[in-house]
Amino acid sequence: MTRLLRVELRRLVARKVIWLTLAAAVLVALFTVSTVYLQASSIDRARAGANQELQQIQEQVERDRAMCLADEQRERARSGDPRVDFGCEQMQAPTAEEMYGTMPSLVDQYRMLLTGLAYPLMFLGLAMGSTAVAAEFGHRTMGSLLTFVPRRAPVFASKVLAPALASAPMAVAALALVLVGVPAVFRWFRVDDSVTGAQWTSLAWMSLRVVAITMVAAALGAAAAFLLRHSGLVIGLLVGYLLLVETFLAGLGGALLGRFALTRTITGWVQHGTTWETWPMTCGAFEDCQPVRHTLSFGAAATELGVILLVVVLLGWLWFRRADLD
Amino acid sequence: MSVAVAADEGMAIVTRGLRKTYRTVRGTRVAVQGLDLDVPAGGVHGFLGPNGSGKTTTIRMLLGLSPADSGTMHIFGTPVPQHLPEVVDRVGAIVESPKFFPTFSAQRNLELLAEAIGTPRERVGEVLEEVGLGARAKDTFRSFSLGMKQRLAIAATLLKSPDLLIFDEPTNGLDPAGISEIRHTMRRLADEGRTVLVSSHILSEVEQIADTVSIIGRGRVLAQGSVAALIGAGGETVEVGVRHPGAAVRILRDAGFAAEWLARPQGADAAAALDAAAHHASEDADTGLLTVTGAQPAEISRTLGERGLWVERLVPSRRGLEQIFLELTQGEGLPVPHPDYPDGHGIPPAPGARDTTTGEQQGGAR
Repeated sequence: MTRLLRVELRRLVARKVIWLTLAAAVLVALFTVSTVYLQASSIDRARAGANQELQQIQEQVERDRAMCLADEQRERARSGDPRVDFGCEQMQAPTAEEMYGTMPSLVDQYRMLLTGLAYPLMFLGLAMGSTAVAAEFGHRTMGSLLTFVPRRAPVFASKVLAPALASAPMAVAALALVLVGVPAVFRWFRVDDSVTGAQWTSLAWMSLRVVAITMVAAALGAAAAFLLRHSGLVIGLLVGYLLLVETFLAGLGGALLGRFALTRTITGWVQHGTTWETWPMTCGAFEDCQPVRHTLSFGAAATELGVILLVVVLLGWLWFRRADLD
Repeated sequence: MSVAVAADEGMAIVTRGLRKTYRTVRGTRVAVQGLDLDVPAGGVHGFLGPNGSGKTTTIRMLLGLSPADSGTMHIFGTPVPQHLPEVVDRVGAIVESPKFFPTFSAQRNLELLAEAIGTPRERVGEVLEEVGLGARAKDTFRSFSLGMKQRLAIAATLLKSPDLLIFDEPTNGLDPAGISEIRHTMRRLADEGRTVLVSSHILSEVEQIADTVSIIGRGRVLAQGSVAALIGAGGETVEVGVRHPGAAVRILRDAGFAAEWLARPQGADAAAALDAAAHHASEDADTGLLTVTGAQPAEISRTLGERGLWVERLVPSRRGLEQIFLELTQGEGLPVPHPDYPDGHGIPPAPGARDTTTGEQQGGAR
């Protein structure tokens, strides 16, 4: 088994498509960092170039408030009612942060980016796993290998495990770029980048979960390719599912479908549990409606992902165990 | 026709009652039905049959690539596929065409296979040299000619130093030089003491190198045994050119030989026609051709000469494997090699053809 796994890893490393997925992951990471850079630079530019405008607005607000207070005094004197209140105290000049926005804290930024990064990494892992196995069927080398190693169980296991292992460095590389690149952007624009030790620990676990889910996606892709034999079919099926079920039906189906949506499960896994709100369907237009709060625990998300992985791998194995091969 | 081969002793491959069916949208298709195959250890064994007769399916079942519906298979006495891992190191096989990763070099392709079976990497260089690909080891598989691909596949089988080599249609698509090369390689491997099972429908090719053959049709064995015994079972035929062929036929028959006048009248009673021909000089004056079976040329010449008929042409000819194959497969209503097909391939069975005995659809399975 270990020998076969080594052979599969060597074969994967020798394939160009693996390097292409790695390059794609690096590009995704660089794009992620660049979005942070663009956001920070846009705020920075606006703040730097707009000091005079802010001062003018602040002076104008002060003038308006003074006029308001004067009008208020006059009205009190005229009516003899000291309770007259024009609300002049609420007229406050905006701060620079209120006018031009602020960068979220580094921790919040990380959480948002890592969750977003999990999806393209999963897709790349899935593509890596499915193409690795589909190529074997395409080139009809699976049968050749079995004439050398006729034990199908270790062959199947090595072909599912190898892409999972090979996808880990890809995910680590992408995460490393983001984890290093984003603080660098913060420092460059002199934004507070302080993170406590506990927060770093939490982020480290979150990163590990992103790596793990990328590996799961690669294994799923490989197992699905045993069933479908074409990586295009595997990817097409996933995209079709996401469009039809997760986007269209989830919109119609409400809370129940939303609860079991794959994207929700992935978010629940990456963020160690997730919450979201829905509006009741029975709520009328003029009623005082309260949103319904839903929670997906980390345990439930992990269980759902585990079941999906188990079912697909099991189906792949059941097919491969008795399959007629060229 | 059957030439007995000794039972399990000294057998490389034995199958009994092997059966395989495929489910298709149009029902069940029988690829192999009750195949009893005996491949003796050592030498080249030709596994012959028209396209769709079940050769490749049988080989795939032996190698565990396709599960059999029923029957038993043994390789060197080991039941397969149950215990295939125990004997697989003694078996090297190329099923249909050579299959490697096209963008990998020959060396890398073999290194991966070598590593999978725990063969030292140095062995890769040795087997590549052995098949004459040492200089092209770094070239990608897709840049190889068909002959080179076939040689690479043979090199792969040699990584294991196998006792049994299975080549499925190894010369398909090769030019004459490539065919000759592969033929010599197979013969050499057999001469080294290995068993080579070569499936083919190109009979002249197999006849040149095979020691024993099995002829299959409709997924079952029609004949098997040594090539010499199969050909010898039909006896030797001599083609005779002689004046007064009708008279010559009568003389030869009187002498106890099986003689046929090739130009005899059709549709009428043969004996009467021959007698008539022999008594009518005008009809029997020209040179005609006879075939005589079971006699030596010298005996024919002497018998006719003693009666004043002088032989003008005397050509001994043996029945070839092809003729035997055609007789057997035509008798089975099977597609046979057709001269109109430039590569000598047989005509595939008609779609939906049915076995009248089982009611199941036949042929086409590879």
